[in-house]
Amino acid sequence: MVRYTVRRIFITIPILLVMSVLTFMGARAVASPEAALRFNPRVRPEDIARYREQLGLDDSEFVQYTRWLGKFITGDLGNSLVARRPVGEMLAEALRNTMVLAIVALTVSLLIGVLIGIIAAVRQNSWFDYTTTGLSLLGIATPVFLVGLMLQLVLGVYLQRWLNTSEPIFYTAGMTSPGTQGFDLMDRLRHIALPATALAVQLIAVYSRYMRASLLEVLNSDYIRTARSKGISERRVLTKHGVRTALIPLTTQAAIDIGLLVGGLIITEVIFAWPGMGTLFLQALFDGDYVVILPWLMITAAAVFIANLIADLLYAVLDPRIRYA
Amino acid sequence: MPDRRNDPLENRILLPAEISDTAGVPPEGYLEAEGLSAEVLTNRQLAWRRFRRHKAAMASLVIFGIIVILTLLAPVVAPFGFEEQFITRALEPPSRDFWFGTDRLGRDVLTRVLYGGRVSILVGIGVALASALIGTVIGAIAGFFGGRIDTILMRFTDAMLALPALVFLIVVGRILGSSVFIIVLVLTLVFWMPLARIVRGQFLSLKEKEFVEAARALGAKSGRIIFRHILPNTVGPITVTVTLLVAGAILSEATLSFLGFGIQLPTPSWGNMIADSRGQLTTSPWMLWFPGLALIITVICVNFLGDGLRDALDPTQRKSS
Repeated sequence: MVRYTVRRIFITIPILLVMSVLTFMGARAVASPEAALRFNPRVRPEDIARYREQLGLDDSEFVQYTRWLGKFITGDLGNSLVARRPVGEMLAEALRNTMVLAIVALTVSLLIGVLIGIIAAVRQNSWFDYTTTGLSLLGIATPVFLVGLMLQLVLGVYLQRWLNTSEPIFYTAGMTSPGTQGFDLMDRLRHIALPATALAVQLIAVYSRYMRASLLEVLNSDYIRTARSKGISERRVLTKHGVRTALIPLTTQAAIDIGLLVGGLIITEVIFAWPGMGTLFLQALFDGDYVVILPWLMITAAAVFIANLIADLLYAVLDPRIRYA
Repeated sequence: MPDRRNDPLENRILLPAEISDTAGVPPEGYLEAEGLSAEVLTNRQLAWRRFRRHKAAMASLVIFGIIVILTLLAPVVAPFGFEEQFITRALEPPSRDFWFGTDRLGRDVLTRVLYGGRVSILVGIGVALASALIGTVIGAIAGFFGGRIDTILMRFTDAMLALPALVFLIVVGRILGSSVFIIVLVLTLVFWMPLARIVRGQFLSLKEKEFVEAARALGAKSGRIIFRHILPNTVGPITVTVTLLVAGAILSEATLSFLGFGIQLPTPSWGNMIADSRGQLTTSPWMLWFPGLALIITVICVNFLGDGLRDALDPTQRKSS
């Protein structure tokens, strides 16, 4: 297992380096961090030149990249080229906000998805099965951004109009109301409801299908027949033997999907103006702020890599039939 | 012809001329001559029969066919040009003049949905075909030759799969630009992996089969074995996967265009039309509903088509539904 892990790390590092060069190019190719200053009539060209020199933007791209890499390896993240704040601080804040959104969405979708999957499998070919199957097909075919916009429109705007309230039940942007002091749980919930739902819709669709298929396969296997023939109650067969085994592939699927979740988070955060990693990524990309975007990439890639690794190892731990050389 | 009286039906010796893709199917009139009756079906007919039984897939075939024809004929059937503006009638709700309403520049939404569908479907099919090519080549090489080549190619495939696709798409798209060709190219870079894995799996099991051994014993070279013997047997799973990739690619293109990294205005695509609706979502929701609906319907149809094809071409891989 250790050898397997080490081997995976070795194949990932070169890919990550290539990816970081690409990201650097993507950030620097089109935008430059001082672009905003150019439009300010009170900033003189000499100031811009001084600014560029200070930040080392006049050096060749190769020099800029390697200088960044050298500092990054020693743990020096530096300051954002545009916001002039420490990059570590910016990333920590964004990561915290994203984690809140991701964990809420993931927990809700796992709970609901697994529950739907179990009922659909136990009552195969019932109206519940058909309805949820149809809905999940719809959910899989609807991209996150479309779900997000429809939620904003229907649950954000129309709901307020129908109920004729002075302020919306669910907010369509931001993480807290401006001017809120301290931690207001209701306010937070009203902000997170829509983005979390937007993220969860597709996940619930996928997980419920997956859980249903997995549980059906288990319920049709020999050892379940043995358990039943031994006279164990149907409820116990399901909870003790069926669901437990059926959850194994779902666990790994959930971990593998973290890569997809990153994409979903970027879109959701953009639509709902959530101050997280996705918003930070696009902002830094448009600003050409490579000092922010490169560590961003490293954190994201590391998260996805660790999730995938956990998925593989978890699979081996949960299912004794699997062994890694 | 050998003497039929002493020849049991199933052991009939086939003359070389009869060995073709209908091998095993007795010549027409043969069964009747034996006093038996049966319907004679080729593999393709059997597959079509299985496909036809999948009602959702048949309905999807019809609807998707209509969508494709309408979008291809957009210049003929669309009421206006996709850049034609009626400035004084901007943001009008659906009416008899503008069935799907108008956008903020006074352009007909129906017209733009039709033209947008061209781009979306073109990108979807283009990406699926390009991924089929790359995925099949990599999967076939890895599965057929095995050993170190297999290890390297599959590690690479796994690593690409672990990459957050959207980040990759955004970054590479930003470097290379955003023409339709580039979008297809970039999307292909993140779409070939599932196919490579499936083709590899097929090759791994098929290359051990007797008919491959027989071909090798007869002196067939690797190239011939790959293209003439193994590949035709993987067409089923490849077709199914490629169909599902079309749906995925359409969704990804829409997502990229929505974020502004895909097809650029004024060329319409369903993704950028939906992005364009954001500014006046509350006042002119038709700008969201119609391209959104077109996108969902198309993707559902393609998914059902893939499902039906799975039943028809690849009955062993049927999902437990």
